[in-house]
Parts: sequence; structure tokens; C-alpha cells
Amino acid sequence: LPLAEPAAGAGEKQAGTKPEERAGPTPERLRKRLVRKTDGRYLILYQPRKDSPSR
Amino acid sequence: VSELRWHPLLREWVTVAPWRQARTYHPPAEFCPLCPTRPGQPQTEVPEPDYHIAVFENRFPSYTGDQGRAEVVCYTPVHDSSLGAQPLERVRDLVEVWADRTRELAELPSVRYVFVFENRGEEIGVTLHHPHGQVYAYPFVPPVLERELAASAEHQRRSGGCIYCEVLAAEAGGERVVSRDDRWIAFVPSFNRWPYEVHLAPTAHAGLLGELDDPQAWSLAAVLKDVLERYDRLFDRPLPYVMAMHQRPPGAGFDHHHLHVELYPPNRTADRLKYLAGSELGAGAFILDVRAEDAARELREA
Repeated sequence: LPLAEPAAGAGEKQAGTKPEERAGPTPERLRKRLVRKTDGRYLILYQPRKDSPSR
Repeated sequence: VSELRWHPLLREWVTVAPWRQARTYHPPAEFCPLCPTRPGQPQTEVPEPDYHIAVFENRFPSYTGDQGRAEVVCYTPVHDSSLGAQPLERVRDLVEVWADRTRELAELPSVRYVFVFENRGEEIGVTLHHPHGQVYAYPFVPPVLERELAASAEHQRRSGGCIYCEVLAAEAGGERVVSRDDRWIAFVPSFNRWPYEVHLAPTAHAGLLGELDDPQAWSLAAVLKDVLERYDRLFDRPLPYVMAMHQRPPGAGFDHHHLHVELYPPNRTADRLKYLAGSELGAGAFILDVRAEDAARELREA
């Protein structure tokens, strides 16, 4: 089947993948604010977190 | 959504997104869509009077909805600037934003790869001059990453080690190093395909930006900033480039991949570009007229 195409984005990710395995630490230096724009698209504003130990 | 068409000869996906033909093209600075919205002026993509770092869905996306995402990352509210000109603190913040976007977009069910990149300069095809990068969340692993992953997986099967760790061990302290500290190293690889191509990588094996600890993230910011400043000093002009962050795909089974950043300026001299032509585009074979060792020396001295 030389013309057979794989299913992009279909099925599961690699075996053993779970969201909690992929999730890392949440941002520490920044805080996020989500804004929904009038056309439905999202905007994320990242602001410095003044109390971050990394700052 | 975009149409994905399968290239049966190269065994890779081609993405068709005709609406991108209408995307904003070189607007004058006063109508920049990436600047904050000024009082009394038309609303931009960021309807705020100021911002630190802003991320939004591309108005002309290559991927959207259930297929994936195309995001724009505005590095600064200042229009006339660049990534390399940002204070170190802000570059460090960007490392966190890139890691956060990677983490969040990798959670989308259809996403198989999250690609953080920047196109800089008109020579690269940039249509908006405001300092910004992009993030694509693809519904497939892109071909270049797929080839890298296959190479590193095969190397690990054969030798048990990481191929990129071995590249770093060979380059560290050598004549192709451009910049480094204890945690990150920047070098012109011996196998460069662009005259002033530079790779940056952590000396300790890691696959994702989100796996870096705080000192490693600071180090990435410092070495990246240093290389970008050298680029602009090299020919005493803003050097165009593509910046490509090669992280491992989401999911299990990719621990063999070594996170690295690749930078490809198209220039071969101050005013001459290397074009991808017959050999490169038609045959996939890069022909290079600058030695990596000479390019690295020029960048060290810049």
C-alpha cells in the first residue's frame, strides 16, 4: 500500500502516556491571565510574579 | 481547519491553509497588530494598554480547533527591538512561557508535537516586524523531528547512549564552540547546513524546556542572548535567522531525545544569502561554502 497515509492526530499518543506524566510544574516566575477576544480566540497575558524565588 | 495532504513519495504531510494568503503583510508601525492598544487607536491583537509577554491564537492559523494550534508569542510591547536585545530577566521569562505553552498544548488530544520557533527578518519572510515568535502544535510529528528521533532511537538501541550527548562531548572545549557556561553550550556543529548555523544544548540530558531546573533555565537565557547579540555584531546589522527548538514529543518512549535549539541565519556574507536551490531543494543535499570552524571563530570574535 505505497499510497496509504497514516492517520494524523488519530488514536492515542504513545502507549503509557497520561496527562499527569506530561504535565510539568506550573509557571513560577509568571502569573497568567486568560482573555477571550471578541472573535473567540484566546489571549494569555504573562505578568511577572514579584514574589517568585527565581526573580 | 487546514487540509492535510499526504506526500506518498516523501512520506510526509503537507498542510494546506489557503486563508493564510490574506494575512497581514508589512503594516506600517503605527498599525502594528502586536503592539499594545493605544488610547484612541484601533484595537490590536492585545487589547491592553501595556503587557509583559503576550500569547494569542494566530488570526491566520495553520492549525486550529481539534487539529492543533498556531500561537503568536509577543516578546515585548516595544515595537523596535529584538529577542537578543531583551534584558536577561525577560529572556528567562520567555523560557518559562515557551515551557508553559509546550506543556499546555501537548495536552490537546490530537497534538503529536509542539514546536517553538521564531522567524526573524524580511529575508526569512517575516511579515510583522514586532519582536515575536510562534508555537505550532502539530497533529503529527514533523519530518525533521521524525528523522532526528529515528536517529537517536537507533543510536540508543545500538550503544545504549544519547547521540546528542556524544556530539556535545566531542564539541565541548573545541574550536567550534561559540559560547558556553557550565550548563549550556552553543556551537557551530561540524555537520552544519547553514554557514552560521548554531546549536545550543544543555550539557545534562533533558528532553523538554519544562524539565530544566532554575539554574539551567537561566543558563539557556544567558547563552541564547549572548549568541543572538553576537549574530547582530557579526556583520554590524540585525542578522535574520530561524530559531527552532527541538524538544521531545509528548508521550512516553522519547527519552532518548536531547533538547536543543537550532539557529539558521540565511546569510553567507554581510549582504549575500545562501539560497536553497537545486541541490538542497531538489535533492536534499546541502552544499556549504563556509567551514564550521571558521564560522565559529568569527562568531567568537564578534
